[in-house]
Amino acid sequence: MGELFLRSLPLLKDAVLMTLFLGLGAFTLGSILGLLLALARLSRFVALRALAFAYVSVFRGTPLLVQILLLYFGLPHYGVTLDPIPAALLALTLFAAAYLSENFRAGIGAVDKGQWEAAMSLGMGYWKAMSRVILPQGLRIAIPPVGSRMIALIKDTSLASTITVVELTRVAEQVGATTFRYMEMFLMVGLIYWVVNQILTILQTVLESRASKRYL
Amino acid sequence: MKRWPLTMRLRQALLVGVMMGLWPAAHATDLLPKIKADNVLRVANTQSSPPWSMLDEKNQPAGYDVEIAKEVARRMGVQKVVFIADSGKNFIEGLKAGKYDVVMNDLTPTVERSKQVDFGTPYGAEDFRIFVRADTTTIKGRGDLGAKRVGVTTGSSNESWARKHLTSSELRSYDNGGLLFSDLANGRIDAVIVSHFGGLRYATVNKLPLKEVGEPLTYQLSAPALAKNQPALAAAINKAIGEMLADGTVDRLAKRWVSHDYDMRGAIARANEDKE
Repeated sequence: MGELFLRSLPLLKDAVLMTLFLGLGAFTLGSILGLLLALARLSRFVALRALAFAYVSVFRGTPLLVQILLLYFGLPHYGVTLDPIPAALLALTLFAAAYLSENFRAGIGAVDKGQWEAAMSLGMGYWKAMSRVILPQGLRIAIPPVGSRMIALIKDTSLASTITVVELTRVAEQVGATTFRYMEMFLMVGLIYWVVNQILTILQTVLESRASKRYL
Repeated sequence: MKRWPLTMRLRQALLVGVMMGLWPAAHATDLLPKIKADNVLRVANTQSSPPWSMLDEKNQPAGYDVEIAKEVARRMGVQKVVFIADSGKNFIEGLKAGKYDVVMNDLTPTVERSKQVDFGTPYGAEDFRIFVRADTTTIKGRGDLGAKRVGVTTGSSNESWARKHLTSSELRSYDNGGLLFSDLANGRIDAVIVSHFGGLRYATVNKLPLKEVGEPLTYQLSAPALAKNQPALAAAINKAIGEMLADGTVDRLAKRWVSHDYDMRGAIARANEDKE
């Protein structure tokens, strides 16, 4: 397996960067959109709440593969032709935002009601109380599920291969097709996904303990 | 209980992993007697690579490779052929795990692939061509493909060939021909490398404004793939294919399934010259 690894190394190097770019890029963009969606879900405006609910319902309720294929192969029928990488990043972002919004909503909801009351009694408005008091605590509570979502997202990037993006899984298929050594290649990229996610898990743990320090 | 040293446990874990994943077919039983006893030959194909293997209007396996497989079984004295639909990336493990006896699906034999499976006598050949949109004027042949976006199908021999020979092109690989040709039509890619008949078929079925340009890029063989160390089964299959090549059966089936004027034996001879 060693010589197969060395042979695939140039391809794997680019592929792992693509996997990280798609996974972390979609995580970052999806977090921003997800937070906005969570705030919309908690809004006092019915229209915003309904919109956010519908969004989550669609993007969490349909398979990511279907979303990717529709964005990439469906949109050209309406005159929008996205390149493979932007299409994959967009699909992963939209998908991630749906899940992340629920993680954020749970975190915000878990902050004690007394914190709101205390902030309001100090004369803070809704946005000031939200941004200075509630969100810092709510986001800390949300770190474990958000971290899980990030790890899931790294693995979900493998679906980008269906729209010709060359990431880890696609490299395994490419080299597998030439050498017929598919199992070894899938074992190899499986190991790489695991190492990447292990590093991300450690980062999450560090972040979690640092953010919790003052509450202990 | 005394704990093992860590390295020892790791080694143990690795060994189990390797045994499960990499050598599932350490047991090399001879398949031919079982095929004869059951009177069934199990053949794997994708059933989605026309004109080689596909489903007909009654959803039954059909195509050139399918007919070859049926005829091979008949000449081996085996009454029934069971076709098992699987995908390119599963064929090798399927063979090793004994899920089927032979894969007949337009597989191109290469030296490197032969380290994993044994190939029988080639029964077919196809020529790869360049397909472009009908309004394309800048691509007239292989020399014009540099720096162009070229589409191929994942895991196919056109992909392997293109990765080896079209190193200056931007290659994109698609899960199936339908997606590949829809992207050629909407301009995301500039050209497609595909077999002559595969390309014509997609263009006419989907009514796409496409054309074929340049000379054939290469001729590639297709051969049955078997698990390693099955000399009796390989000999039986090769004998049947040898007879079919000699008596013109392959030409008859090719004219019926590939094209009415296809010279299969000629194509096989060309492919043998092109062999790497």
